[in-house]
Amino acid sequence: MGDDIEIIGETGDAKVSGLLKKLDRIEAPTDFNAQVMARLAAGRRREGGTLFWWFSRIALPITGMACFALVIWFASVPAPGDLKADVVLPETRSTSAPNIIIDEPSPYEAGNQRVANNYQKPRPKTNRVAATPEARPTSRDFAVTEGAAKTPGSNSNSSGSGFSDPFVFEIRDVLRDLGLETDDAGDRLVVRSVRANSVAERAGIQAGDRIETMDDRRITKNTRFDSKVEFTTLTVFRNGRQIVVALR
Amino acid sequence: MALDRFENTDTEVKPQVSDSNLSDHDLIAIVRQGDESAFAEIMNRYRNPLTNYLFRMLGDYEEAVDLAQESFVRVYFALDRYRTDYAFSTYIYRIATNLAISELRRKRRRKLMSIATFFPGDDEEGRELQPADERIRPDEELVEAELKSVIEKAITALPDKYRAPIVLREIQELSYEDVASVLGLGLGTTKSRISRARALLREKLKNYVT
Repeated sequence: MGDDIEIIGETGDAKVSGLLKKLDRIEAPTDFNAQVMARLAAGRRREGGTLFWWFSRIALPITGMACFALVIWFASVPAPGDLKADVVLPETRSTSAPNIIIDEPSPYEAGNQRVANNYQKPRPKTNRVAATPEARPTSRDFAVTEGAAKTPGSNSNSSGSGFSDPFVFEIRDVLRDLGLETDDAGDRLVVRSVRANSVAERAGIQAGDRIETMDDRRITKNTRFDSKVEFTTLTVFRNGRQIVVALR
Repeated sequence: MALDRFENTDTEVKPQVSDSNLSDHDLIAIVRQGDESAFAEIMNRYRNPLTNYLFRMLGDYEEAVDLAQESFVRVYFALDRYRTDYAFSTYIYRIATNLAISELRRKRRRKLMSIATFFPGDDEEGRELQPADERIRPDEELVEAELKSVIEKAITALPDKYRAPIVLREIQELSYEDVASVLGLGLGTTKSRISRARALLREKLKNYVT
């Protein structure tokens, strides 16, 4: 102890160094090596466990989410046949195959329902369906497009009591005039068959299509017309999509 | 590697390894070749200096032993990346220093979070800094123990950046160059910090350095 304190005459740094060197040397415990070995063994096990942890907690969930996103993406891609085309307006009608528009919302369902009663368009030169209360329709009126002479009031499929008003035109007759035979599907009409070489066939209507609208008017099985009307477009529901076809 | 071969090899090492004067790098090469007994020889060489160094850094024996063991574990798992350009002692001291500094920072954060910080006079370090018994004890052994305790606490109270260089230089007796290499500092910076540490210790121990 005397040596520790009797450092008078040395510099301050040397005194400090002398004090520090008097400290005891601390030694490791006798089982130091064995404990290190145990840690190394545990570390080996942990390394394997780490790989499993990364696979189960990180890699697997990420892969699952990627697969799910891929499935969603594939489901959202339209089918190859559902390609967008233009509507052929009456002024630009051509003789080529009918053009189809996909994914165009139904005007009725889009909230643009119009009151169809007394809805009258300017009469074109070539009427497909022409009827007026004043001029009683004849078979010639319906034969304009398809030549399928039939009196509207004599529609056997029309709903009602069987005493049809001859001045009211049932939707089934109008559709039949276009070449479509339909069945009821709840409140709506579904195409059962399409007559060959008819307007409907040229427009691309297929069996199973559900009739949605004709122009802007929503079509149900009870739809009737009491005035002259002409339609330029027909909207059908096919495979979960709205399809608008041009009538020519 | 077959770690089972290390079991119960506290002090016993294969003769061809322990009895030879192989350098640290030679032992590392042997370990890399698959003879793990050479690693036990490395531990025999460095476990005491490392434990002593970490104890002076942390002031806690259990923590010092724990970090010394952790240093060897890290060395073992990083043997493939170890470069023999530098001395092994520098390498393992550097690992131990990093572990010690991390532990000191963790303890400091814990201390800040502890409610005990509102009563600085009651915390453990504060109590330890106080002499156990201030009465004059004529017995020299007890006085010497008290002096050592004060010196230890003075070292522990040094800022980290001064504590590591002074312990490496004055207690572990490393050269200035080795200290600079361990700490990743320039030689001038290392000397400056050691000098500053000595000055701080001189101030703390002024009652004993007269």
